[in-house]
Amino acid sequence: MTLPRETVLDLMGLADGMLEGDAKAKAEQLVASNEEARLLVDTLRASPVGDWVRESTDRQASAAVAGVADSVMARLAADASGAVEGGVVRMAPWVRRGSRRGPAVVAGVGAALVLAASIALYVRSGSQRSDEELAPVASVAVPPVGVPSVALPAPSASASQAEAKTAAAGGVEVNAVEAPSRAVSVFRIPMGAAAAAANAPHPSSVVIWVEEDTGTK
Amino acid sequence: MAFALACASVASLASAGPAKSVPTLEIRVIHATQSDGGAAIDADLRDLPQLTRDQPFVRYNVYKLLARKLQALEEGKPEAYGLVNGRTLQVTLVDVTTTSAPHPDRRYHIRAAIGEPGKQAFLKLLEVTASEGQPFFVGGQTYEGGTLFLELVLYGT
Repeated sequence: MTLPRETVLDLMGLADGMLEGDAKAKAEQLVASNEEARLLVDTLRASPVGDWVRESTDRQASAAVAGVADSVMARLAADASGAVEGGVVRMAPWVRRGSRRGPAVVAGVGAALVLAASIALYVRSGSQRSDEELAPVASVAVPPVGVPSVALPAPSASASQAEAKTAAAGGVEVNAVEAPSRAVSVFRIPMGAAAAAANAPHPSSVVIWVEEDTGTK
Repeated sequence: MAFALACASVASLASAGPAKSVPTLEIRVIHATQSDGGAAIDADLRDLPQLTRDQPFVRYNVYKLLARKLQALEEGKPEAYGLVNGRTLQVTLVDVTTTSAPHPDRRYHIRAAIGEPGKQAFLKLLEVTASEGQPFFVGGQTYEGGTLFLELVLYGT
């Protein structure tokens, strides 16, 4: 972004309808003549966050006006009872709508966040995804062919305890496997007709597969 | 097949004298290879055609039964069995539990290991809990151009 910070704030105020007078005219002129300024204002106006910011500032303004009215009424009531000195009602400081402070700052921060998010989304959707982006967040070692199985991690040379709790449909449960320096896989296999013929209560089993060391026969 | 063997083993134990309340372990040593000459499965391995459709059996197409043994197992007493590749399979019955009704199921908790003197254990520890008559396999040992599958099944008395 090449626009100066002050200009960006003005454009944010314009997008939120907070500018008045010369500042508003100047910002509108910039939008008409500068593509980057126009894109920024369009983005802010199209964003639901921008709507939220505008609604928030409107609510704050309404609440402040309501507070002033309540304060005046309270003071008038007090004046009637003789509690107010000199007939002067003192009000809390009020931030004028159109000022760059107060609500405008809130809107500016929100708009900046919206702009940053929009740019990030644009850059992400337009860039080529790398393999790393497509990689799963977690992965496990699996046997060479996708079958129902549990692959236990290859143990290190020093510590090789691999605890497993593999229930093969309740028939065979592998409680623990320890094979130093070897990869272990547990395959779950259906017994199918063979088990049915034998009246086996659990028609499945497991194969505990331990990889042989290279060169060992 | 396994069920018939179990019945036979139980019958033999009963005829030998007073019935001992110990389960029987059946061990079958199966040699599996991959051959371009076509599939062949030993007639004694009647269960295997069903299994060879799944991993890791599907990697091989020729299966031969090399050895078979029935071994009575007492709780806490390790039993050793010499394998064709010089290693030793050791099996210990840890305990036997029976699940309650409506589907009572006897479960055998066994501990196994496969080792070779002077060398690092192939399988230092395997703990399995299996139902009665439910086979499980230990595979992966290379042997004569193929691999060995050890099939273990436990039967009650």
